[in-house]
Amino acid sequence: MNNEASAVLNEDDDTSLLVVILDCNVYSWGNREKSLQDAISGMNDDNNDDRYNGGIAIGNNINKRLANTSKTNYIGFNKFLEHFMVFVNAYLMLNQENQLGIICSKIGESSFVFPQTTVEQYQQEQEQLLQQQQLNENGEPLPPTANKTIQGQILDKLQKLDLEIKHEQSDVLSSSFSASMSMALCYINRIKRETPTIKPRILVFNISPDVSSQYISVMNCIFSSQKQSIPVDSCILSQLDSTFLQQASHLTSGIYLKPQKQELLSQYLLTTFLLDTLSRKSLAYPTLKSVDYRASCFCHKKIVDIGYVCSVCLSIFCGHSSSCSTCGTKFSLKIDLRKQSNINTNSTPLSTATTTSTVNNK
Amino acid sequence: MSKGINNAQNKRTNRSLYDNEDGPAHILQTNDEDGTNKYKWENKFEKTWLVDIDEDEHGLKPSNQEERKTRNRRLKAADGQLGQDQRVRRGMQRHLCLILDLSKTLSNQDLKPSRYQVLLQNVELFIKEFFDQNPISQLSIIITKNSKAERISELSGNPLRHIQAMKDAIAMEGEPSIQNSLEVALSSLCYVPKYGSREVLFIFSSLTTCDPSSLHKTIQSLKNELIRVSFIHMAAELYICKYIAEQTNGTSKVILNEEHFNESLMLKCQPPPTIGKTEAALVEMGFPQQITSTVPSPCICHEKMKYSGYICPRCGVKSCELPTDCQICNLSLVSSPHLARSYHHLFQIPLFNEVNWKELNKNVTCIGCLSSSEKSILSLFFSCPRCEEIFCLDCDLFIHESLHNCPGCENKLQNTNNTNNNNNSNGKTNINGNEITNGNGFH
Repeated sequence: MNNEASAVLNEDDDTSLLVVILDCNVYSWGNREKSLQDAISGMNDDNNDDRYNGGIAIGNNINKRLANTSKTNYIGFNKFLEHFMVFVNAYLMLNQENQLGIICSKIGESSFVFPQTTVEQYQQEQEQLLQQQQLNENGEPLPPTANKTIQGQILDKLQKLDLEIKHEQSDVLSSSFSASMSMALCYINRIKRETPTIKPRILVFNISPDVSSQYISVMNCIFSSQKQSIPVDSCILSQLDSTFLQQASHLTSGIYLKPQKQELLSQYLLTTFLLDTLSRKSLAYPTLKSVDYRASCFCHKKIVDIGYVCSVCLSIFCGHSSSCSTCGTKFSLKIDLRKQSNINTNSTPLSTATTTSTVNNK
Repeated sequence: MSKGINNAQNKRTNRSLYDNEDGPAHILQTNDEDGTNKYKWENKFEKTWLVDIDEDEHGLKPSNQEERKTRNRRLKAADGQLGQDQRVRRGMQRHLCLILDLSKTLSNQDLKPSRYQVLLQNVELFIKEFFDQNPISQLSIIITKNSKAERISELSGNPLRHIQAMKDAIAMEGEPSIQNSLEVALSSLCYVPKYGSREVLFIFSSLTTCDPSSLHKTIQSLKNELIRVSFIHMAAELYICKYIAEQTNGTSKVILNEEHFNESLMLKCQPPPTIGKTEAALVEMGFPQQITSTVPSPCICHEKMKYSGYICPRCGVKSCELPTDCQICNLSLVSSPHLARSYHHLFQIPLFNEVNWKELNKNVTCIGCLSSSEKSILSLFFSCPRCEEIFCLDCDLFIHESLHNCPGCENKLQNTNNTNNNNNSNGKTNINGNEITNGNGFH
């Protein structure tokens, strides 16, 4: 990467900005809790399935079998938070000027957790705190609540998250990863303007599967961070690999990690994601062997070696056809060097694609 | 275009090179300390310290007119040619001939440190940005000097090779020739396939041209081949250049200063709308996988021994970088991120409208970076017409120029995606949402 020069310049200044994107998808975590519960109960008896009706029904047998074999390997949200807070504390202690941002991507919506959204909210909470303290002083003198610390704020907000499910969104199950990624980049853009020497990076905790409808926006985010040389680290907490994050980490030269034993998550986090980009050069880190960048065709979703790309909308097909199914353009099948001297001699108006109406997405 | 003008100009440049005591007479521009450059005659005040600064009662600058102007210039220039209709068919696979006028007028010092240096720097940036935004496009550099034109790099997709060729070229000799260079461009562009766009970008520095025959014949053949010629003048506007640009659907621009030169070049990174009824075609492309072997083998492009490389799926030859054309079977080899890089030209985000939060009498917070209007009264805020979320000026610029994603729309996309399938305003996002993405999302 060509940030060598700038790295040498700012050698003394090793403050970094870490923006964490937490996947707070209730369904994914709920499924996780369920499988954990099943695993525990599966040892004793198999009649405990009625507790989590809200989750998605997946083949229970498979789930149980997986959970049984990997009982100690996966953790629930509360456990995860504990590990995460250890990591956050360690990060903040590493350098007193280190800055932190936490964004959680919930179902269909992303929001900032750590820098408070508005000044007003912050003030409100402060007032509430004061009121609480006064009440306490009237009754019994109590030690100040943990809310004053950053850690307290984060924990408080994260623990409230579980309850924030809206019923209108019940049919949407995907997390809004692209939105949180965009917000993270905007936030980094601002902090970089305020303190130009800071070294930003993004850390993504992922548990829910990729959403293919976000492909373009996620790729836009990846290219943007690649251009600004912001590494995107990813920590995968689920069993499946995430293609988006593999590409993100590979293109931005970040770290892609899938912890095998999540009981020891804080250790993974401290050893892998704690240090800044400068120190990483002198350490050995897990590397991605290869990322499959081959495309799959739009018509049959087959992975293709040689594909046919529509020259108008760049969609990929596995064979010839007379028109593009994405944008509806008619193709001329004769691709030869036919002269068009008789046609188009006068200046012609800019053509607009009148074809988008034919698209039917089902 | 007469010889007389040229001679006079030569004398002027010569004098300016040697008469340093009087100060060069031809320097037209001033370079302000705050980086805003203008022609000398456009500058309002010579002694700015004598002028009162507008202040409000808090001692703050009340007007953000300047910021607003800059923003509008930057964002609307890119969007302006197309207007509101975003569904414009563009030539996504571009073939661009970059013609550089390396005549002796480049030694002129009206741009600092000299026109030649400014040209080199900015064109290098342009080439990098061009390939960053259009990875599957091709570029060729043609230089013109001594009344001749010469192709110094063939149509190809490797930015470093072009930049090196440009730096190696000897500059500042003789006069340029518009006709010769256009003919050279024509000779390479007429063989590229019809579905791609054919463009010529002429960076012209002289006020004269030395042509063997009538230019009108060349213009006619350019028109027949659907080649678009655009001019960027470093000196002044010439009628013939403007005429060529008009005839071929191109643009003609005269730069004001270095900054403007850079901006005008960067605008050319966006693929232009297609001219007339161009053909569309299915282009055969290979998506090779990277392989790493324990034994090195030579690559076809550099003939060096390498451990890793990409194997052409048709003929099995190893190339060491993507995107490229296979040298044996001429199949274009790309990877899926290269295609994805160009998607933001197809699915553009709308321009944001300014929010007058002072009149609304409430404080607003940018949802991208959390900066609030409480802290500074100067800041401008904008709202996205699609999702109606509020953004600050810096996020607005960042989103349109670098990110190409609206965070607010991304948030709401998920909810609207299912319900608004036939909504016109959302048509774009639906295409992007369901069709293209499914293909590339999972491998």
